[in-house]
Amino acid sequence: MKRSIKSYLVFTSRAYRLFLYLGVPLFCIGMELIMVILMKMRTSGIMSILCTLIFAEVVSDTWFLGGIQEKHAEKMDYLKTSARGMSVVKSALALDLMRRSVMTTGIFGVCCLLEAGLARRQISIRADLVMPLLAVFSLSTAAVLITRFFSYFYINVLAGYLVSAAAAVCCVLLSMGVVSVNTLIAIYAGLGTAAGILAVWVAMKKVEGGYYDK
Amino acid sequence: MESKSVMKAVNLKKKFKGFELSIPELHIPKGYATALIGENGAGKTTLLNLLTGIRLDYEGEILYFDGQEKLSGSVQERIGYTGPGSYFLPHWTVGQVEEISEVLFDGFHRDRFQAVCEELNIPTGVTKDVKKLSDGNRMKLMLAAVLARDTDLLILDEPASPLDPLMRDKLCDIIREYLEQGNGERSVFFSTHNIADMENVTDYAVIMENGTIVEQGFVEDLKEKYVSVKGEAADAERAEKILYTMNRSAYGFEGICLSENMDKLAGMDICVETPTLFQISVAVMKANTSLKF
Amino acid sequence: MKLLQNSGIPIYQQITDQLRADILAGRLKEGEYLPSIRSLAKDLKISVITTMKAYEQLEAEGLVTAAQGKGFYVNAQDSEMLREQHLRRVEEALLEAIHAAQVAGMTNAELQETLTALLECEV
Repeated sequence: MKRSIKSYLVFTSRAYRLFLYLGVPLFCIGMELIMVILMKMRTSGIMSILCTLIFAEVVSDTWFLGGIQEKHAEKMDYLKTSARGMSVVKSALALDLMRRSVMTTGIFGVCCLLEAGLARRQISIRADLVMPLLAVFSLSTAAVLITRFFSYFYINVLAGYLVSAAAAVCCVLLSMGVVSVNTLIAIYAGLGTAAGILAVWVAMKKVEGGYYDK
Repeated sequence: MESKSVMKAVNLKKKFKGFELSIPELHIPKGYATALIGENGAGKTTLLNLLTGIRLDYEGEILYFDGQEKLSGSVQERIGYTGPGSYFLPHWTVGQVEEISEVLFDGFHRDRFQAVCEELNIPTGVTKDVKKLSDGNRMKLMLAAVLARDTDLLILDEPASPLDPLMRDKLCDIIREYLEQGNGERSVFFSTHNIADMENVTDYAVIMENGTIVEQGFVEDLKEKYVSVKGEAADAERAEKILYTMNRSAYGFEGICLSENMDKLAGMDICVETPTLFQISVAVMKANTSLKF
Repeated sequence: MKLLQNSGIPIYQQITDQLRADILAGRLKEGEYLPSIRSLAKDLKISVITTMKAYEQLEAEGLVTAAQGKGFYVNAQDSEMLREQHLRRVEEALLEAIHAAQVAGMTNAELQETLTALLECEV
């Protein structure tokens, strides 16, 4: 496990770690405090946090595994000269998914606690924790599955923008009562599982394919 | 000269579209620096990729370190490779290369990596991405990553090409120092187009054409096998039939002759010289190329 | 050690000549090890195989012996042989002087005079 964590961490630069592990959570919790608790704009506040998280996840992936599925990236000769190279990549891919779910759970968990504690509001685990968590995980994973085919920053920005817009639309539909929380959770869970499995499988297939001719 | 082999292969075959690598027998001597020379498209990079283990679909067998071992994790630990193309992920920083190397290889020493980076003046700023490095600095970074490890064999694909003259000289020093520290146990195998720059560090030469090896041997032996000959225009006609390769002009001819054929030049007014490795290589390539002169 | 890249004399020959001179002049003593092939190659900025060839030639001349895994050490020099080698070198140098004198158009008497004069200076 220690080696897996190390394998994951070495794929992230210091700037990436600062941005994603510190900047993003602080920003989200700040938004929670200001928009939800101080200004009492609950729906748009949660929606903003959700969209910010998705956007940040997709954009920051450029500096993590951006372009790993690109046409010529299969070579990555340095990794292949080590007997451990492939397992290192696999650990990085898998742990990124774990990190994403843990970090999102943490952020929304803190938000729920703040609301329950400071705003004295009744919290629904399904609507306030599970739904946004699954939304962030499934939509950002699905997006990076596409963007990893390109090592081009603006593709990530565009994809991040599109999926966070999609998440916002879902939130609106939910508040209008068009879809229920349970339906959304089911859709996100399905999408999240598929995207998660594919994200590891596609990248590994690509990288390991470098050992052979197509 | 007799020597043990650091790598040997038998019936090595690899097919691509419109290209076939076919090497009946390969022997890279242990304890020396071996140069792999050949035209573009001769199959040098393909051969190096097979030997490094970063291309796995081929026929034949490759054995490492005295012909004892097949490719394995522990063999890979002992081999350092630098190559063209996508070697690192483009957005890795120099700092990340250091961290990743430590995870990838047991024998990686961070202090040695930092020392080499400083010695070679590689910009190591935290935010400096690999893709923002110049070709020369990228080459230096690959060398640093490889030299920071405990290895017994370096496989370097065109290490000299991206480097400036000063750094090429330094590269030669690096190779000699690596060999010296190994005291006969370490070997280097590098491909190069810059034969003249690398001649003073080349012990053994392997020359490839059209996917196969057309000449190989210790440089001092090759210098005895071939002779550089210059002569008068009057003898050009006769000499052309005897020489291995020849250029002629209105003023005379020059070319490379096999030592064993030298006596056939008797009676001609000629000057002879020991050829350089560059002259030998060009002659061998010229004699085997499909290029038209 | 001085190596000339473009002198027309092969590098290995230059190394052999200089080491031979060192051995015959007693600057390298009996039993002393020559620098290892790879460290000499590194210091002289030449290939390992060139150094190797130089050492092998010295070995063939009987001046040094290869010790398995330890390098090359200087043999005991037969004093008779040593003297002969020295004589040969003197002859070579004198021959060169004679050639130079011929080119300069010196007579034999003039040459002998010069040699005598030089000998007096030296002593």
